[in-house]
Amino acid sequence: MNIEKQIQNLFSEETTEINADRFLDRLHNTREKRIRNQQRLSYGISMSVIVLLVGVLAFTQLSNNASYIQYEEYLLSENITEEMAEEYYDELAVYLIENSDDIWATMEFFYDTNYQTNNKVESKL
Amino acid sequence: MKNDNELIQQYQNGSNAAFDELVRKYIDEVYNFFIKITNNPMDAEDLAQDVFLKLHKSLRKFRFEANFKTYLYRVNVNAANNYLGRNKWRKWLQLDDNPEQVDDNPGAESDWTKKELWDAVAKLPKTQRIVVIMRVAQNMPHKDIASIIGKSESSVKTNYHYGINQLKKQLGNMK
Repeated sequence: MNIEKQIQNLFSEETTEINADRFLDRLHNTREKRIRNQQRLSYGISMSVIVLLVGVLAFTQLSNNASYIQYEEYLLSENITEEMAEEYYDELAVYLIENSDDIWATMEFFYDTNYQTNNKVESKL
Repeated sequence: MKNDNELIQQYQNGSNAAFDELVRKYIDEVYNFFIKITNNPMDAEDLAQDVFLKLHKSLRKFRFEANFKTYLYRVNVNAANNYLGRNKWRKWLQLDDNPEQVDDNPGAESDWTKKELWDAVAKLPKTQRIVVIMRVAQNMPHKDIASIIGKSESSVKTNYHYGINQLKKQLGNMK
């Protein structure tokens, strides 16, 4: 017998049938699973893009505004003139006396804050 | 019974039942083709699943320019090529855990056991293996094989000739 015939005989013995219903069930399950995975992947990618976009925008906004964010200069002692300080303490002293009706408590407060111009305050009071 | 083109047409119009009918019609043919390629029922079923999953997607755009059966075999051959490419490395690394084929038919009218034949076929180069299986086991004409694997008819004949000679040599050495 020639080799082709023998191979053909051996191969033809291998012919088997498969359970079509089980195969179709598995096929559709796999297909649905793949669709779900694909949807999850695209959802994940779009969420990552959104997060990245928001991050980039926030960073850009921050860096753009960075030059505008400044400390309040008037709080720095070197910019406060003696007249300004004196005016502030005068107003504070009047306010405290009017609201507390206790001149000694006001004096004590100024003493605690180490106000340099105590004499001036005292003379005004 | 509806023909392939009618079933595909129905599937393109939204009938999943038509696709299922097409699967039922060709499942045994596809499965047996892969059994001959892989010599492993589980791998054969996985490959058949891959083929029909691919068809489920691609048949939506099928334009009826080619015969469906030729198209199906082209998808089969691509899947087989991928499998053989993957397996080459697995075998080289000895990760292949194919079950041993037992010769359960000692009275078979052949000089070799099935295992010897499978081993010899498995050693053939990819194209030769596919051509030999399609020609001998599926009884396909050279012309059809050529159109399926995208090679010329003379190339198919050459591959077949070399494949058979290789098998003769290998099986001859076994005896």
